Amino acid sequence: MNSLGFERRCDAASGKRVRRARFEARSALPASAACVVANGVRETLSSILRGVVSLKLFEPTIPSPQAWALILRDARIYRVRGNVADAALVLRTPDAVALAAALFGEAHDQSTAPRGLSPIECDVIDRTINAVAASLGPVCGTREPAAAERVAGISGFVTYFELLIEEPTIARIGIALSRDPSPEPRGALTLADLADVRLSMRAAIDAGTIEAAAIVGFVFGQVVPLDIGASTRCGLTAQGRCFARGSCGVRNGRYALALEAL
Amino acid sequence: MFLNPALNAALDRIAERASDVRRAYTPGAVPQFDDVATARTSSDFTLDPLAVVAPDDTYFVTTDDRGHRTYTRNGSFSLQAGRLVEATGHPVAGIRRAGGPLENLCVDRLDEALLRVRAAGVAADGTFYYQRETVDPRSGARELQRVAVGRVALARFPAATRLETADGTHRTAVPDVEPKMGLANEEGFGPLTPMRRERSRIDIDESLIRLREAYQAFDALQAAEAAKGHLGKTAMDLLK
Repeated sequence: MNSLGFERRCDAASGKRVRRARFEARSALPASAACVVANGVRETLSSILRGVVSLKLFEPTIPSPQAWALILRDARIYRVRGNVADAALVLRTPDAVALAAALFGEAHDQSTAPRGLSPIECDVIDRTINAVAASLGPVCGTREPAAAERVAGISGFVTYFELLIEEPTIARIGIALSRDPSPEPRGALTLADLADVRLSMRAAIDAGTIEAAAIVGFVFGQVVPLDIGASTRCGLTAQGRCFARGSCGVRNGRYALALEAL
Repeated sequence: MFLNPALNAALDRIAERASDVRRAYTPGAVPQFDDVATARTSSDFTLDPLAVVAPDDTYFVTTDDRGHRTYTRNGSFSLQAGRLVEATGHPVAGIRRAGGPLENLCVDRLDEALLRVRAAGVAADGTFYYQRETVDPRSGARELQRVAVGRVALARFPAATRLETADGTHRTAVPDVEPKMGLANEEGFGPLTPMRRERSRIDIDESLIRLREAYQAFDALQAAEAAKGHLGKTAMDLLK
């Protein structure tokens, strides 16, 4: 869904910092739904790790194709099928290593050189992700059993949000969804909202006929007689649209229009 | 191009003086001639949180297009494709963790790709940071999380070291002279001054006076050369 946003870059104008407006793609997935998922994941990890898990959420977004490539590069991807949409859990290798270390009760030093997962760590991570997948019901619909299958890649996914684990380790778990919820129609403008809008009106009088040759012969300063005595038909237009027709004339010293057709 | 070497030298002097005048409003620029240098450094307040002033006699470390290390006092930094760069777009070097190697400072690539990077800045201790918005899933409250990317490195050269510069802003080290690398507020390095932009060390009035003098010298030489030519021609005519 495209929403009005503002560029990050500021331009200086008249001593003020101005950001240009632009339309940008925003996810229609409510943050509250992502929060429900995040709380479920937190509870699941707390029970697995047998300790307090502190977790934050990055709001759902619609990543660009370049961002998707970055998200999925060298990541372990698990697909979860739901009855509303498909979901994918995305775990990048450094995050998987950090999570595996926490699962084994080891301290993880992020400054150490990057490494891959051992087969045992892979198995433990797979089981953990399977447990976490049960929390995805609020965003992709429930389907029994909620199994997460490891896949090499995903395509056609739209929405993405991340869970940032802060305690007992620092790692991110990404969640991708195959479709963004359709935005619900909100209250539209009513006639009462538009009642105070002022419109420029234009009255056009039928001024008889004239020969084309006479029009071609117009010169500056010439007086063109209008034959409006016979017909005082007049149209009332606003923004190029005719709203009424009638006879025009003068009443109480003011130009007036007697409406005959709407 | 003149055949007379004195005239060529005078033209070179004009070009050098003109380049000093041109750089008078370039932050952190130094003059080619000491006679137009200001007595001390000065800076102006700016709303840009990525603009900083380095302590006296220290430089920021950058890398030029050919991968060579250069040094600059121009702390007008900005963020380009997630990288901290100086005014001409060259990456600024720093360290990501204590004892780590010198490397270019970049925000998290995923945060950059997902447009999460907000309010980037450089603190007095050289920390390059940015903020990103997170949601607490328990309360639903949004909060800004400060992410420290690393610390901007500083370099200091032995006293009286004359650094080579082509553009007055970027300097290269003299061979066999290694700078002392460090961080702001550590090992004798002073703190950075955030939200300030350093002025150039070029006195614009003085540099304009010197430029005019260079032009006058050129005019005088040209007049002398013309008079010499006329004299020679007259002598030849007399001889004929």
